[in-house]
Amino acid sequence: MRPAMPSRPVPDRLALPLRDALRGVRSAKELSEMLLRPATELLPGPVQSLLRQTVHQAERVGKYALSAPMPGPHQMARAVAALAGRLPAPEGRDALLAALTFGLERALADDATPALMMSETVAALAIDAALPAGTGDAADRAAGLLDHLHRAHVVGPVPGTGFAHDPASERRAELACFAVCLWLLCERPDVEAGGEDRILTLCIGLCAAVTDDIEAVLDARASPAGLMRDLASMV
Amino acid sequence: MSDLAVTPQMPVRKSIRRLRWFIRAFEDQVARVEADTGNRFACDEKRLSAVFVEWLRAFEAQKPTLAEDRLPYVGFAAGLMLRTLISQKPLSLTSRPAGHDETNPAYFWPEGYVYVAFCLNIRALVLAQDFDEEQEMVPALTELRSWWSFRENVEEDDNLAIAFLDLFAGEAPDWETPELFRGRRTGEIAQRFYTALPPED
Repeated sequence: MRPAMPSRPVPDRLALPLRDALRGVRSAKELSEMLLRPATELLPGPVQSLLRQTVHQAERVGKYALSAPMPGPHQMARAVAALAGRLPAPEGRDALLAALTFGLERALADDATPALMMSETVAALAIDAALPAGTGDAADRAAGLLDHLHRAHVVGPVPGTGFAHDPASERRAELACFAVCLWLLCERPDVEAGGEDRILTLCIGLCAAVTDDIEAVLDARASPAGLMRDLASMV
Repeated sequence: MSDLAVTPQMPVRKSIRRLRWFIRAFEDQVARVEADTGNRFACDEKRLSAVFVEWLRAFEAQKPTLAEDRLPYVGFAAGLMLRTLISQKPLSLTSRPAGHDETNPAYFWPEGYVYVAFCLNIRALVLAQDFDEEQEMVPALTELRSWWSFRENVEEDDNLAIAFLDLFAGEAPDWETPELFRGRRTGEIAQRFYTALPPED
């Protein structure tokens, strides 16, 4: 009799694409009710209700299973240090990825437009490319990371939904990435419980308030480091 | 007027220039007015963030360099804040208690009342912390006549909010160009210049 194969943890590298696949399923489910709503109006009452219940249940399961957890204080400190270049890239990469994933999921959820999702795999590749290449202060490095995230298309339309990545959705993706990089750049001397979530919310709100300024910098293809520095000092 | 309870770790003049403290202080002000009046408000945080950025940029644009202008600039900066709150309108009233008294400014213009309370409280905190000065309570603050004029005038020109805050704080308002800060020295020069003009024929 052949001995049973010892169970092994899923390697980190393999887990990323799997998580992306599940994230895609969740995003598609979130879209499904929106897309199905006009059709459900035409269905008889009991069928309509059954369809809605099924979609809701799938959404609930997907959200519980896949939402990125809020990084703990130690992980946040490592993410911030990695971005600022105070921690060697291999050590800070995972913490930065966890923070970026949590932040982007929140920023895209706040955007209330479910047609976009982020890829953790692409984010990991963008971080791997950005961290060693980073120079200057934390704002310069955050601007560099933003550029890599944008060029790698870390945020894009949910696969299989038929939504195109038009200029408007590309801009929304860029603004979400900007807000998250800004969050990582902010000073956090005395963050209380739930404080990180609050700072992220403030950054998302601040970016929404100064969208014109951000767009002007992005349109000019200039480095957003100065604007990021300015905004981070305000938060 | 309802006070503020939030106590920053750094001086108010510095913490008010941080979004996280600004929003917490404003939310605290809203909660206190709600508790005192029974009014209920909805706050648009995106607009509040826009208020903060617009105010901070206006604040930095005219920030004086002379030490002697620091005190008068506190009142001017509070006026800029009121102007921005009035133009961005981050608050909207959702309910008022039954039988409220319309002659009370808190019910006559509930949102405006919160904005004025917030700006006066920030002003008072900075004056007390940095200059050991106490803000006066003046009759204009509770007179419906003043509030009626305030509301009507700022609808036409929100810059007048700066002058009205001076009025509510017991200072002499500049009704002509309230949006321009005149430091003490500039004020003296302007005074000499205009008094030196030859009389018209």
